Amino acid sequence: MVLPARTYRNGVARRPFDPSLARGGLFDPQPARPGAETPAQGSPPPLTVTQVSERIRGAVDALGRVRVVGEVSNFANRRHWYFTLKDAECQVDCVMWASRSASAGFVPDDGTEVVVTGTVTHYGPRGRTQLEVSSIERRGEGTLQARYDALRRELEALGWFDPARRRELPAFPRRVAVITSLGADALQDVLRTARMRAPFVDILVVGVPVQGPEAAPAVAQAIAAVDRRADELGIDAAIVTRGGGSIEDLWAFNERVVAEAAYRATVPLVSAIGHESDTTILDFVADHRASTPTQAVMALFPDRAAEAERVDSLAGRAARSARRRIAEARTRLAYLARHPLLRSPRAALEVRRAEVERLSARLRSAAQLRRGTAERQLAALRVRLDALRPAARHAAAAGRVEALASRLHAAARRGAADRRRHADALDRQLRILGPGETLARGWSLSFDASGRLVRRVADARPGTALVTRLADGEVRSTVDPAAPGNG
Amino acid sequence: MSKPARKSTAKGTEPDPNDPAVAALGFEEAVEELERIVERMEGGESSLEESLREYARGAALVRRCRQVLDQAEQRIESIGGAQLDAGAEPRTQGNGG
Repeated sequence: MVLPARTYRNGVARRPFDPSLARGGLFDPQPARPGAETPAQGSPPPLTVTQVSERIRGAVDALGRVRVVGEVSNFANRRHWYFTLKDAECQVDCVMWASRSASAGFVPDDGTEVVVTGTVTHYGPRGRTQLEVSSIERRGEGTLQARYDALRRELEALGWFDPARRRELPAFPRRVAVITSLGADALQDVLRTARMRAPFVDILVVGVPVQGPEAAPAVAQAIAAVDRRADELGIDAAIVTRGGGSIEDLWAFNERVVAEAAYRATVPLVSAIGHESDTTILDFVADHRASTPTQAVMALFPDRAAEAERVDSLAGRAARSARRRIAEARTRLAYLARHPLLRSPRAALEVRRAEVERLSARLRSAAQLRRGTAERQLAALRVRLDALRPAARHAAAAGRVEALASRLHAAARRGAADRRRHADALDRQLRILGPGETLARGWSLSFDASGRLVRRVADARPGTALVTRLADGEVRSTVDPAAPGNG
Repeated sequence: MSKPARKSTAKGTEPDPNDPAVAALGFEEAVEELERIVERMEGGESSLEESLREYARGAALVRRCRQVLDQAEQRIESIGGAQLDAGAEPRTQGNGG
């Protein structure tokens, strides 16, 4: 922040005395008023009261701007401030017009030591000389610039200006609080820009004084209240704004209490105080600094055109995706529709039926296969069993007897001794292999009434009369009808 | 319950007959959901039925977004800083366009 050089550089702006500035002055060749008395002979003519008054005024004006230290007394706040500034010896009447006192930043009491800057004026009609005060500061506080520099250094050291602690502004705030003076141009700038840019963002205007002694505490209170009620009122961000002015006008935004409220707030804060060249302490603490109220809106409010484009783009992408998805599904459907199964429901049914037939045939053949195998195995076993039966053995033996008998006959045609010997050997063999030998070892042969060999249980039905040949004779018997296994 | 209703009336929004939940969405929420849906649709992971459901939801979200953007009447309320601090309710004023 740059202060006007004129303000505080010198205690008194010194200018050389310029007689031409003193209207009706001592060296004025013309009398101040037409028709004034002719000067008496030998002595200068008397001055009118008006002439004296005007000369005093000229001299006072020549003082220019002065900076005066003193103690306030007889302070009266009647819209404008009236007070007397005094030191141990003298006093000067002072007035501070409301337009200036509003930016004083404090209200002095009697006894307050102050430094004032102003112009001494002489008011002829009342013969009154007074100091018109343009700015006032407590003595010892130093100039506003010095206080500004000190606070800025202090808060910077505390880390309050750290860019890392700045919150990001919401991309699409639902509602924005605008903390400013209700009558200010700044508010109109904000509302006009907001209406053009994003009428869908709600605005809550929070009215506060933006200059004068009440401004700083009021702005601090408003920031704190907006922050505290942000959730309740749906506020996503806040703008603190004020139009341009002198350092005194903007002073509230350089006060520690405002900086502290901004520092404590969690709702994102945009500050737009004064003009581009003005940077207040609040600007450093805020999450975003805008150079003007309009810029604050541009920073915080989304742009309707850009958002509409974003939505259009997404809508187009959704539509294209959906169309592609449907086209894919249609292609797939067309492919599937060519499948015979889908051509007619009856065809599908036939295929099912054929499948059932095929499966049941397989089931049957599998059962048959198992049964066939079992039967074959049974037959083989039966053959082996038959081979083990005595009758079969007997039959086999009988076969061999035949063979031996024919060999015996052949042998009979050979030599007598030889034949005899041979015959004896054969006879032995015959006896061993013949039924007689088998019977002699305990086996028997049974015949039914018709003389048929009984080979199976089935051949010996209950009541059948049997003749059983043993080694030493025959036994006659009847099959017992009650015996188990015969039924 | 009365608050969102009042809000939607003041904003001039009509409840979406297809999905009442969409009408209550803020612009940013609606756009974010729309972006997710479009990305899912473009990913091609979902079934046809899901895609069509997503498309219907997306279309409702697009309508909601456009409805917000097309809103012409700005809702402006004002209150004094001290009243705000004291817990008073703001009063409505117009910024009609």
